[in-house]
Amino acid sequence: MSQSLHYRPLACQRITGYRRLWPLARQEMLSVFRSKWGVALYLFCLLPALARLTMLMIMFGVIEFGPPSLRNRLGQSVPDGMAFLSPEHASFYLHDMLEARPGMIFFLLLTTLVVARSVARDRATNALELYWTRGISPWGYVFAKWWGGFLITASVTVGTPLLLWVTATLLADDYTLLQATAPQFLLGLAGMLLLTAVWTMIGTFVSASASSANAAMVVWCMLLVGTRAVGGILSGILHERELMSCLSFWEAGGVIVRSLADLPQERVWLGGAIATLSTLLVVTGLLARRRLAIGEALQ
Amino acid sequence: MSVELQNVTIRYGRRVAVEDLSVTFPDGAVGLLGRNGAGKSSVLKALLGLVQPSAGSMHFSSLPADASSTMVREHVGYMPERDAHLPQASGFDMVSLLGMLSGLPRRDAWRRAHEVLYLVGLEEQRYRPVAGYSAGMRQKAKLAAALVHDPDVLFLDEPTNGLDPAGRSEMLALVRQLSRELGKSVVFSTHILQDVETVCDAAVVMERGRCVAQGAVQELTAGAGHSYLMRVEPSDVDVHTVLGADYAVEPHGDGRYVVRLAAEEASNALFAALAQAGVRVRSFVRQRRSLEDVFLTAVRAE
Repeated sequence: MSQSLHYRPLACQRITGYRRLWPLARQEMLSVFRSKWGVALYLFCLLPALARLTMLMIMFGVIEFGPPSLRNRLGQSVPDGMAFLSPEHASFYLHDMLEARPGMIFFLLLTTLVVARSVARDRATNALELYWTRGISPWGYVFAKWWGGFLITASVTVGTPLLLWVTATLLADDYTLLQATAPQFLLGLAGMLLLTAVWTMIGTFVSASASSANAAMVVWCMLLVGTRAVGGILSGILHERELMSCLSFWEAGGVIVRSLADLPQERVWLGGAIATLSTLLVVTGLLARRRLAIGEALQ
Repeated sequence: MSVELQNVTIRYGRRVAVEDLSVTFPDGAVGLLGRNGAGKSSVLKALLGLVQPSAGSMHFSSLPADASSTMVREHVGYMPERDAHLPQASGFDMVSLLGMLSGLPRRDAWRRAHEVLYLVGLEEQRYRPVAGYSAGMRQKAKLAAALVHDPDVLFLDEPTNGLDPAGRSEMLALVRQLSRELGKSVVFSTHILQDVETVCDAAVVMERGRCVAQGAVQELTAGAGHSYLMRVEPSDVDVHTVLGADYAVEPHGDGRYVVRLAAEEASNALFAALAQAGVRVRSFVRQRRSLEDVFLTAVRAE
């Protein structure tokens, strides 16, 4: 130990492989909680789940609200088009996350703040130079950024439906609800997990390709809201509702998850939806690869 | 740990940044000098494995020849030239996270972050966001980040950039301590020659991607031949006439002369000739070139 500098040589076993990336992913995951606006936004994104939870509590009689017959009426069988209002259907738990209203709005808010800015923000502060001169590769860095963004987004898109479903099964009088909803719900949940992974990966690639954090946020919003608006207008003019499945990136994701879980939906084109999302993933990935060439990024 | 480059060429597309560079960075502090665009940063990036040389080889003395860039980075601490920090992070968060990314377990990274932030003098400000730091504090934070994983070699790219005189002096003192007290090998890339003279034991001068001079600072500044600054009494005596054509003497006014001797031993004959003419030698000092002279001479020759 150098007495004047209080410096001790380091003696520890180095961590290797992907375990090294976890601190970066963790930091990315928690970045939303570093400001009060971020915390407020995250809590705001939980509102639809809270509303559904309140509905569940009323339906199962935990909360006494409204006329005494409300619980019985809500518990009765509902038509297919209203399945998302009955806890006896898997749609009840997944509906909010798959629909443009409210799902897309909350998804857009959260991912714009966390995922779309992640790499672009680091580039703006030259943090890439600090990261890449450590023992991690540029793609390892991108993976860690995606990992963190995926976990925080999945806590809303996957975590809240799961929480609702578990609550409902625990509140139910018997195993009927569990048996009725489990197959569809679990498939839907797996689909949501996959969709969240793909979406956050596309968001991370957009962030890695963009010239600034603001540009990344604008492009990301255009991909979600813009393509849905264009899809809505074109499919309306041409009277081809299936077009929405491949023109709107958001709808494409919903179509895939609903098809996987066999949830009710009208006039969709599954092949087009898969092709749309795959193309977007590949194109943004190639753009990110080009932009993340080390020599170029560290000029 | 010494670092050796042999016939290294680095290209960015068609542009050649470094051409056929063969140079050795010995232990201790070594200044990497050159004008902007001379290829200094490219050399550092190649050593860190961030840029792949199109030709040549590089070798760190204590690492195997086939060491991966990840292994190299574990033994090297890099302080970038540009202002760089992690968004929203405090000094402690930044340094500990970079330590963990270098492979330190969390507890060790935290301990080291506290230690190196204390070492660079940021112990009071470590929990403040780096974005709010002054230029000098940010430079110190970058140095702490470069040190957190206890590297053998430090690559410091323009570490005194943007610092006020007090901050610059503090940074140079710190680098000197790291090299001399902690035994770290330091490669100090800069275009400020005075900094290199203050801190470094050796220097490498680059121009247009080539090495135009290298060696110990003492040797480089000693100059060619034996040149001395001499002061004589009486000051109005014409030494040139006294010594004749045997000696190369250049008057510098007020009884001072620059004398160039063929060999160091020739000074005895010089003293004898002056004494015989009744001229007293009051001082006789070997004249040194500044590093600036060395640099300009090397660059002009190129």
